[in-house]
Amino acid sequence: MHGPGGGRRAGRALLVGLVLLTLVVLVVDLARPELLAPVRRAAATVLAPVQEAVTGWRDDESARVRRERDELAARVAALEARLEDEEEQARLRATASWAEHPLLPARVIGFTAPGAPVGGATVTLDVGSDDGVREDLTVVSAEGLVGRVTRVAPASSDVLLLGEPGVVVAVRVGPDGHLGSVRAEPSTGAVEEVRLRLTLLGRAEVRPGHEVVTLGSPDGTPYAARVPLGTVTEVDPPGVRLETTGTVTPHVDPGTLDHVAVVIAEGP
Amino acid sequence: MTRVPGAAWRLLAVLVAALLTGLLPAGWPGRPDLVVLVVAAAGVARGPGTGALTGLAAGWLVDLVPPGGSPLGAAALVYLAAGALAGFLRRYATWSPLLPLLAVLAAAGAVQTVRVLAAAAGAGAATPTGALWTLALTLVAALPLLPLLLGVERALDRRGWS
Repeated sequence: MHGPGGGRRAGRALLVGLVLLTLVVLVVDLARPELLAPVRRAAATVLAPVQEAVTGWRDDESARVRRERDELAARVAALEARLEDEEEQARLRATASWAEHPLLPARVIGFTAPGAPVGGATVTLDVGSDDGVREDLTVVSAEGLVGRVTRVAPASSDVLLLGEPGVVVAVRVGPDGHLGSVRAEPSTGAVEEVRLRLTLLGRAEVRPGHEVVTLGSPDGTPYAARVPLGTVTEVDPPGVRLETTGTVTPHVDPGTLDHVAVVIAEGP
Repeated sequence: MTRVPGAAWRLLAVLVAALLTGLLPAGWPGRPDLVVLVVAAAGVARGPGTGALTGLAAGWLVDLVPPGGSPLGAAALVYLAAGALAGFLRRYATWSPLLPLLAVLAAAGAVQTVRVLAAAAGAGAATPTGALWTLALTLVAALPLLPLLLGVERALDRRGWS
């Protein structure tokens, strides 16, 4: 039995020990992230099925309430929901006709927590290495480019979204296919929607309304070719800069992601 | 006299909060931070030591529940500070019955401040507007949940289990 003082001392020693352990992990993760990848994978293996179950429950719950209210109306609603799902999948396949690669349908089962100190543009999908997902594969939705896979667990995978600082995508712009790159603007202001910075190679005739698609790589990773990415919304006035710059509004709203697909490229 | 039921309860509560938080998406400008709510409740009911330990465990879950946080351990330290902060406010508990709510505001404010500062320094994406929405929604969620959490802590305390 601890006395009150002894218990407090033991608690403090435990706290100090755990904080030191956390600091060690933090430094190791900054220096050598691959050393801690098994920890993340283990957590994902355990927790993703729970997340998936809870997400499914959220859908079933509304259906269950409807059934309680009116058995027949519930059945209609369920059928309509399935039809909508299939329409979305079909639209996805139609949009993605640019790609000869097979598409793996997936659902978003987790978003970065609102309290994570490094606010992330990352989501978790309900497919993983068991389904053939690898790192760096492209993720698309019916609207266009979503992002690329950064971490894979057996039954789940994490996707780095367009709009995360540091994500740069090579693109073609407009009907002439001018080459350029798109990166996220640093979110220091109170800008709500994601806006992306477009930088073209040299001067080029680009106007607001022009479509932006991915340039892609030969093996389809990290980004498959010709995925719709967004629309040019502003072109900066030509100053002393040597290249044309502007702003792109992405097609995909990361806040409402649900049905997506992983482009299964055949790898390098 | 055992502390196991109290610790087990707090661990379960932060696990549920961490799993639920990741599931509240879809178009809202911000989402409530349920994890900080549980951490602040533990701190304000039991003091800085328990608040810090609960915060550490909660932060680890925030870091590990997919998609998780990066770098690993950063959320653990931030939530630890938030829990300890709520715990230090406990000594003023006699001043006002609204103090637990104030502790939630302080803890959530600390977490969101780190987030916005990190974004301003180029790490991650977070806007001040989003942070304010998260603060407001966390306070709204605290109105029904905080009395419940504090009630459980009191019940554990009566049995000598905390």
